[in-house]
Amino acid sequence: MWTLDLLISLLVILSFLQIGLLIDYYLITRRLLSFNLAVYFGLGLGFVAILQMIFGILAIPTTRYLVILATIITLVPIFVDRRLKKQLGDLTAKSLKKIKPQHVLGILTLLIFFVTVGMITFSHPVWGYDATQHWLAKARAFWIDGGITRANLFIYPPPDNPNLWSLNAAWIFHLLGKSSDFWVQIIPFTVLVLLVGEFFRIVAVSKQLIWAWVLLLMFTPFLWQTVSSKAYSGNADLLVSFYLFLATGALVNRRLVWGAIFFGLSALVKNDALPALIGFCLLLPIFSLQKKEKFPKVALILAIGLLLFNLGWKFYFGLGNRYLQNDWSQVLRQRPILEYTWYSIQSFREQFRFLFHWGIGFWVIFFFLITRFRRILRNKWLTLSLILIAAQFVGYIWVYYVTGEDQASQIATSIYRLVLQVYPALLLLAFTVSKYESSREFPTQFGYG
Amino acid sequence: MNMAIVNKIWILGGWFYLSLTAAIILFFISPKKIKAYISRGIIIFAAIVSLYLSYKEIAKDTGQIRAFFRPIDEKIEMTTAGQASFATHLRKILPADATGCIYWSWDLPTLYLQKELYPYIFAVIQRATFSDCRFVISQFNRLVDPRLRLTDSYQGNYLYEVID
Repeated sequence: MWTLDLLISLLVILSFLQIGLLIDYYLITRRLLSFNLAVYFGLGLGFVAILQMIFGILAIPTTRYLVILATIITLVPIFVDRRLKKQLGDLTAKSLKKIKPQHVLGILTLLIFFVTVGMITFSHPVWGYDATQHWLAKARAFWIDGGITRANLFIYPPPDNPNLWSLNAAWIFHLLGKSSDFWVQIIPFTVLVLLVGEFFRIVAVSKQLIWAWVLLLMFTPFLWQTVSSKAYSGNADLLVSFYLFLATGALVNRRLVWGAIFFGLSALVKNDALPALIGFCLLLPIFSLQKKEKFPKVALILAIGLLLFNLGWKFYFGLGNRYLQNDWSQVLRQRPILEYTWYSIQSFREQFRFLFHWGIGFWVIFFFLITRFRRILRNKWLTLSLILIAAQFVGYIWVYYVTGEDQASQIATSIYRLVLQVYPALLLLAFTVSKYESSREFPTQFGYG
Repeated sequence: MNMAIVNKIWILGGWFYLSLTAAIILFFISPKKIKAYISRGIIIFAAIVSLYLSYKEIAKDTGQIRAFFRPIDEKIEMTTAGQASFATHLRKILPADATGCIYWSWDLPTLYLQKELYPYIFAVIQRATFSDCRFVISQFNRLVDPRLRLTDSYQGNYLYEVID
């Protein structure tokens, strides 16, 4: 029985990748395959969630048959579209040819690492607070009720939390025919594999210290523990981390359409990512005001569209916002803003040096961002990326100020998860500034294409 | 006074921020060729530290790795303290229109059972106020109360009906 469940779970992963591939191939790159599994997976998860959200608005039930049909349909073009089939075959062969005998040790390390993390992950089901009382509880409700309804959005508070993770978990439940807190872990596990894989693709272009950078990321203790630990494996923070990483990678490479999509999707995972999306919408026009460059209309429309969809969704279902609907006079009177902000900053300072979560990852990030600061200023997309991550921190500190809970206890139970959201993106920026002297040296599609 | 400042700097900075500051200063004052070595050395050292810390963490989890080979149902039962099979059992025996309460016993198992019972809506109660409950579930503890009639028991977990 478990073999069937495993096969179905793998089929779901394949269908997410396939959905992303089709979106990228037919809608974004216009029939020019880029073969980027992390991007495909991100797009696939996002599409499945948005589709179910639209079904929720239109009151169309998501049934098991519909999910099976959608999964089968996504697999058809690869057999029918000859051009797609040829490109996929060529790119797969090209990728395999790149593997040289000197890569064996590195590949073996990757394999041992992922097998070990996989074994720890699948030695238990999800067993953590946030997942049990919120994310997977909602997923089970969406699965049983056949999608989002006005009622089930409010069962597991807070209702204003976005639903991308729960909807993707519900999608897997539909195919499995049961709500399984065990098999659902295949999604975060795949995210970890693809996150490391994508980082490898980007770093590999530099041809220097490739493995050192990759090892630094993948062996960061809290990154893999978020997947392998039963307390965290059902949380949504790794997905935010994944999307912010993809968005930053896209932005640094001037793939603004992808950047817009991934910032938009990150905010559909958790409200925590809204500052980056809002910042992107506000700053993209300013950063694009140069005569020589074409104004990124499509990217801006997509980002604003996803932001309005996100906010419109909350408004349509009357979900409110627990942080905006505060009694501000009470907050300002009871909480001295400077002291509270200072306390949050000090907590982040402490968190960055917490070795058993981050190794010396933040040491490396600070070193490269400070010593190469002029490089960041010389490249406007690097500057924008850094500003958006800074906006994330401003958002976190603001939430710690206005939270209805005790600030210290909220920080103690969430700060490491928030830091995880930006860690891979920051490491990517650190790598980028460590390698390229000026904007002219940036390969136009490094890591992509 | 001077010691107080040194202590303060050490508490705020520790070896982490102080060594970072030293490395940044060293980087700026070094010749270009040395700068490249410093950068490379830092990356390699950081990767080794991450590898070492992860190895230590994984070594602590060898029991978890062994647990991978157990049957899946057993892993689920062990992790959920038997609540997965209790939830399956309850879903089979509860009437279709059943509602009720789960008497708070132990945080995660209670939240888990509440989640697994959906679409049955069972509110979590922390005190013996059964006025809004038709059924009461108690995990791990037998409740003795004249208002409750034991309807079912399953591996140390109990289902009661509230007597009007």
